[in-house]
Amino acid sequence: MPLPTVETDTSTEESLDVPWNVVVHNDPVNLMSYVTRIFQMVFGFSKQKAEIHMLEVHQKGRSIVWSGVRERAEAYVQQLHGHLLLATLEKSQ
Amino acid sequence: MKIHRPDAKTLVIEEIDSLLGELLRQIPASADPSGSEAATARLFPTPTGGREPKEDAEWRELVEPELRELFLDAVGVVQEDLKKFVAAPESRTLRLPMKHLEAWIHALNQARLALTARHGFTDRELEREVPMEEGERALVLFQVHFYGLLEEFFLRQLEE
Repeated sequence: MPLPTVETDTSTEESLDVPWNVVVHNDPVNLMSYVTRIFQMVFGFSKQKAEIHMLEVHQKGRSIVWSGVRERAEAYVQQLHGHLLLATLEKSQ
Repeated sequence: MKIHRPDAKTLVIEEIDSLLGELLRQIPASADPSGSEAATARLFPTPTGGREPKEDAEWRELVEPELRELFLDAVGVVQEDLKKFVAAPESRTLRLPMKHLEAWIHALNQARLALTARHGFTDRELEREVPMEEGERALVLFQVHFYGLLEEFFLRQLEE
């Protein structure tokens, strides 16, 4: 009888240990008012906070809009893609 | 072209001239990225931008179909609202239920993104920093800006 093997679920461990960033990238087509609205809808940001992130995207090319466990970060990226924003997932440095 | 709200539930676009009418009729087709790799890549980006090919491939397999359906739903709402307008080329008035504005905003945004990617417009062209060319490219750029104006107007309506 073969010995049972123990598999390590690295993704789970990783998701618990390493915060993941949801990064939104600049896009010359998406309207500033639209991006602000999507940030409010997806993350529940106040209008002021949403505008700060929108301006960061516009002026610096990217903004980290959320950090935390990978699964939730992926869900946020999916929502942002659903609203046609350019978003990626990055390991926090 | 005039836009007004006769009541809380309706938005009316009227006195639509033939060019703008044609551009309105083209929203669903313009939002379709088929046949353009650039437009498809823009509407369906990957979560790691190629840094993690396995993750991106899984995304394409599992998430992209859901997004495609979501996008088709929004464009479908617009298509339905445009039905009478498309069937009557002489029509100069379009009535939209306010509850459809989210779908219109999505479809207009999708059309703008797809057209921009398909035609490879640069940031400078989009910001009108280069002289307007003649021909089809200029018309498409006008279309992108017209959709942007409508989108902005609809966004404001939702804020009120």
